[in-house]
Amino acid sequence: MAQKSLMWRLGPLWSLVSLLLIVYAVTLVNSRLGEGIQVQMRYALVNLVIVVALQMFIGTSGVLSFGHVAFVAVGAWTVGLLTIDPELKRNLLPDMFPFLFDVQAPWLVAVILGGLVGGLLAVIVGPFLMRLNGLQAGIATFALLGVVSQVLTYWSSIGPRSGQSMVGIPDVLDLQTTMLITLVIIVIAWLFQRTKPARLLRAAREDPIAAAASGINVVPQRVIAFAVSGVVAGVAGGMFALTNRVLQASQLGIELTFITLAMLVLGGVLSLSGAIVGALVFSLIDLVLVQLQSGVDIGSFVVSIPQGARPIVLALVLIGMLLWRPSGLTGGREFVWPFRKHAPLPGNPVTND
Amino acid sequence: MTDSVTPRSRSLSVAGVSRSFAGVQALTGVTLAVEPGMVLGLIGPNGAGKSTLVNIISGYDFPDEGSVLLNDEDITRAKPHIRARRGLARTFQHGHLFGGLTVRENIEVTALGTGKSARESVTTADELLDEYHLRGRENHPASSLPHGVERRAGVARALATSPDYVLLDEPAAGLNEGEIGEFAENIRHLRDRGLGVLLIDHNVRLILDVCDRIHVLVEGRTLLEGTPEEVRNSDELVEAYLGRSGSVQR
Repeated sequence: MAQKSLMWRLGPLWSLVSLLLIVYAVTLVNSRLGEGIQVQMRYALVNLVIVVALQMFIGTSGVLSFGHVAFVAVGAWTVGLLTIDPELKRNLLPDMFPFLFDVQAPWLVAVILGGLVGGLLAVIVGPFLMRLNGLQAGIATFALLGVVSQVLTYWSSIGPRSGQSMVGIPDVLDLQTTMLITLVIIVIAWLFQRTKPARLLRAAREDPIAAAASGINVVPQRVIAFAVSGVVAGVAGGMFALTNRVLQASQLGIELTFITLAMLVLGGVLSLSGAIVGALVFSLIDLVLVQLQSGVDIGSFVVSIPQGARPIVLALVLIGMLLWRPSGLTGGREFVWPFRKHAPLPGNPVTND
Repeated sequence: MTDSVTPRSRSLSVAGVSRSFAGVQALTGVTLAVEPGMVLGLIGPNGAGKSTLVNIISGYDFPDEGSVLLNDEDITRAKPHIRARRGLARTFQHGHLFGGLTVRENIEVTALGTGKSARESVTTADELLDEYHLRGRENHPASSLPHGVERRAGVARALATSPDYVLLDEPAAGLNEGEIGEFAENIRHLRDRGLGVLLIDHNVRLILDVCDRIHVLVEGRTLLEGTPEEVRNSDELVEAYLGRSGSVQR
């Protein structure tokens, strides 16, 4: 009885532990496969954190966002500005506001600040954008991405001149550290699922008319989810800056938006498990395709695909998934302890039953 | 839902409400009041304006003229979530449960939405699950419920707001005789606790059975209001429903 009681209490934790174990195991395997694969894995983990941010907002609220990469971009910019050596900044970014030359922070503090800047941007625009639904919300958030992208491209007072890159970001983030940050973010996202705003938003996602009759004022709840996911996206931006070490606004735009959304759709929009599985599976397929484009030796044969075939194959995989299983690989469900009585519903966290 | 619900003050009232849609007059000068511990029935033929009136009372539509008062507070322009938090709950004609959530979660999030803590929302859900015989279904998705259970779950969810007044929009539609009898008991129980109930339904037998007073709407206007006995004996009601030569099921 005591054991059953313990399992009853720990049951929901299994959904978190299984996700942490999957990410840990995949990272561990990739860390043994050579330098090139390790680098790819670091980018995969950065993308995974972006996808988690998307899921925290889109999956919970049911509102489409094409704008989260704007938070990634401001997070990346913040980390870049805070970690590049002051002398280097003076030489490479001469048009910047003078006070920015000497502003410095340790990389971890910079990443946290990057997250906070992402969240701050979300708090500023959220009260306006979060009144919109469906395609209107998608277009408005896409416009946000466009504005941020243009500002970062052309406003040389906060970065490089147009057409130039922000370089000199220190090499401080290895695969293990990237994984640790990713695991912390997964814990945060898992905890967020259980908060009051997330629960109210899931109800409003199911039926906005009934939600109002249940006393739910949906806009403030959406702003909270937008802000928290903006913080996570900002942290992902910081991780990207420390992984890529060269920043251009064009890297953080439409293409990254659609790749990360495709990862989310592949895994299942409604669950955190879907976000993580989608990001890992998509990255794995991408990794294989990159290898195949270069040619893979199998015995006396060389297997290869034509240059440029990679995005086509990825697009076909996505279309196939949308046709075959529109709710994604996980069906929008969280992973559960296999012996529990009730499976959680799609789009809901695992709870005690 | 606890038994200690205490009405805050006088009534939920509608005064001189009119509403038109694209030139078509849906409601004209309708006035009614629901007091604590009272069941007011609202009946009328299809197109009488019942749903428009319920939407205006619950904040999903606004009147062109007239006002809605909740315990002397003018809530004519208040949004639905504000009304829910002030003690006005409603059910919906077509269920409108949160289909992807469990029955328990439907009740808990509604309690949370009206300001209860997580712990209180669990207690509220436990009480309502017992009271509305939903224990066996608490972990089922609301979208999978049979019709009768769905209706019960809708009422349980509305009561999770701990309201002073509740609008029941065609709660008996599609229920069998046994379920209607059980439902009538639930309504009497709500009245006994001091809640004001506005019951909209096409089932005249249920209305005559449980209501203290009945308000009859025809073509957007008040035809009459009275006790079940007065309405039962009204020739005007018979005429409105069935024409001059008809008779109403009593």
